[in-house]
Amino acid sequence: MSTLVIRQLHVAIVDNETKKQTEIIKGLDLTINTGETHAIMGPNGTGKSTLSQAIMGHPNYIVTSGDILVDNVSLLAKTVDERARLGLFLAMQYPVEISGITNFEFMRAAMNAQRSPKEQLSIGNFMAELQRNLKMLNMSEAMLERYLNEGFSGGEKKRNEILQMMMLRPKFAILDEIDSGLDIDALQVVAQGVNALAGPKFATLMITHYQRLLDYIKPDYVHIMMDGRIVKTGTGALAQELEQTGYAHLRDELGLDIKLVDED
Amino acid sequence: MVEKVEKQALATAMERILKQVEPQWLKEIRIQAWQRANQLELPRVDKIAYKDWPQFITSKTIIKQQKDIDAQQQIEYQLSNYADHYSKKLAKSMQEKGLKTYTFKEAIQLVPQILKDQLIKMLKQANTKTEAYQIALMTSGWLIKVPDNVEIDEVLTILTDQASDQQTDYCNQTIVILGKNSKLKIMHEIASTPQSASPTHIGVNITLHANAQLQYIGLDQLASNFGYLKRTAHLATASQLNWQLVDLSKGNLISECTSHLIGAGSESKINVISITSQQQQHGFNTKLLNYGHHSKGEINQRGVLLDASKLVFNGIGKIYHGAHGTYANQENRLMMLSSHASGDANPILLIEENDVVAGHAASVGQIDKQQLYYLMSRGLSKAMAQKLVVTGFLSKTIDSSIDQALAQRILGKIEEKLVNG
Ligand SMILES: Nc1ncnc2c1ncn2[C@@H]1O[C@H](COP(=O)(O)OP(=O)(O)OP(=O)(O)O)[C@@H](O)[C@H]1O
Ligand SMILES: [Mg+2]
Repeated sequence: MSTLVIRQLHVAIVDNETKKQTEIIKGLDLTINTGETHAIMGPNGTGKSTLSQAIMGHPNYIVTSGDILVDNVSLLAKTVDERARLGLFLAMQYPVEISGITNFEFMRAAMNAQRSPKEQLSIGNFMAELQRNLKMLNMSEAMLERYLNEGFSGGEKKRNEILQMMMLRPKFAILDEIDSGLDIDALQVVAQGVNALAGPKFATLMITHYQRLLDYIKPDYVHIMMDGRIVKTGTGALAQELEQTGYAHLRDELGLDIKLVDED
Repeated sequence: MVEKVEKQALATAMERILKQVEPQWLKEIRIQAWQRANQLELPRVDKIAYKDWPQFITSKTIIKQQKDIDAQQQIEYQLSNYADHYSKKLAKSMQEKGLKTYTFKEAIQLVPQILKDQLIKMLKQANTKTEAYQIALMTSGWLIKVPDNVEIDEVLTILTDQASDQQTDYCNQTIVILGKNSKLKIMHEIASTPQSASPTHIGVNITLHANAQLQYIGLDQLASNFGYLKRTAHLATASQLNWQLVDLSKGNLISECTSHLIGAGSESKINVISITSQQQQHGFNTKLLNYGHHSKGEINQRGVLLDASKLVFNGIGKIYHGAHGTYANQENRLMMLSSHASGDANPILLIEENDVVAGHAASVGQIDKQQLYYLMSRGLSKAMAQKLVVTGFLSKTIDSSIDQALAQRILGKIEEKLVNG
């Protein structure tokens, strides 16, 4: 079993022009063991994507205090690629488009990056794995010859993120709004992909706004995040309850002094 | 601008060349070219102050005495030209179809009229000092001729290789003539072996008759301190020329490429890739001149700058009066991988007609950090991520019609240059 521990994490975002730092994550604790499925929900602008980027090591997000550890080893001094090779994966809310690199070429390079020079994947094994996963995700092989995410529809980008996850088989997969932009059928297909990886060596952290995703990927824990902290943790039932009552209600119940984006 | 020492060296070279056993008509062309050169100015290349660089003087310093041309080992060139030594290994099918190739000396003997006409035409068109000197001082090269109605599907590979032990500057001309309805693909590799400090002057002169089609790939890997490359094409009615120029030279370089779209409906694409590193300075004048109505031209230049290098892409498009219904487009893009590098992407469009479609785009930017992050988040090292993004950026300028194996070879060379500088 592996464990991802986030301890009293504070993260600030740096404005590229003014270099001003704004604190977004304000003391967050979370422990995820492989074998578990977690979900984070919370109002817009609460810091959910910020948390996921900070875990992955995006250079614009500065950890000002606290720690992120995998099996007691701090990630803070590690580069983005080192974190990935330790088994972290982030399906991004907004995947980047890269022209001139085919999806195929990229995926092969990513698979081989995990392997020592001696253990590079043969093209045959790679293709077999790829075809199996494409099939599960209802993706056509034509997507492989296209440039990485270039011109992909919103839903195609999300599927492509899951395809990468299935190929790379991480220990900890963070899925940032993997359900947004997916049609009803696609949602099931993507959920199937995630569920296919489920097992004692795999953990998921889903960030979502919709309870429906949790019908397909059943969480063990649901965390509610507001203003840079986890304010409540429960089971799948918590998500259903929240769907009825809304975030403002929860905030008032907890007696928090937080302004939500959609309030005036 | 040419320094006194350079003038002296040039005069010595000219004297020596005129002492060679050559027909009178050629000597006369040389003398005329020499006289023109002395009246003309160096080519104007915007944004790059190259006029004080030594461009003609023969330097006896040899940078490195090492045979590093792997190219010769990997590929059996069909035509190769190492200094004054020529070798010809034409594919049988090419010979059978009637492809004719002559070394410079053979051309003088066997097809003097064609050579003479070409040189006179080139001299008439020469409007810079450098071009005129190239004609006066040329000592090697090829004349390649495809007869009317002959289509050759294989690629003709040519190696033009400068030798450093030469006491003269290297002036080489490749002349290509495609007859009506003919077709050819050329892979032209330009290199220096061993690495040499002597300036290199290389000309490529292309004539396409009606409906002819040519794909020309130029892979430039010069090692001389200064290289000047001048490529010119004249296109007759409905002929087509795709230039694919890949500049991986190690010294300073001025590269000019011009398509004269003379015939109605003629088409030319000029794709340029350049990588500069260390203290290198490379300047490009890439020109499309639309004379014929309904002619079509496209320039696509992409460059990557490392270290303290400098790279300038001038894209020059001109649509002449009478060129109705023409199309001219250009894109010039630079990616800077170092904050010490300096680059310029400079489109110039001159339009004398109304019913035309013309456009341009230019950009000078750094590598996209979000793209690097995305790739690294999948476990790719920074170096690998950078390599993928950069080759991806450059490979968009490799024409999709190019033979797969050749495209792979070009990409391999690009990667080598990115790693070794
Ligand atoms: N690069 C950035 N520059 C400026 N502000 C940023 C940047 N990234 C995030 N922020 C700010 O940080 C806060 C948290 O953003 P984040 O994207 O983490 O929210 P989120 O919880 O993922 O919201 P959503 O549900 O809308 O995706 C927001 O106020 C956002 O505007
Ligand atoms: Mg978000």
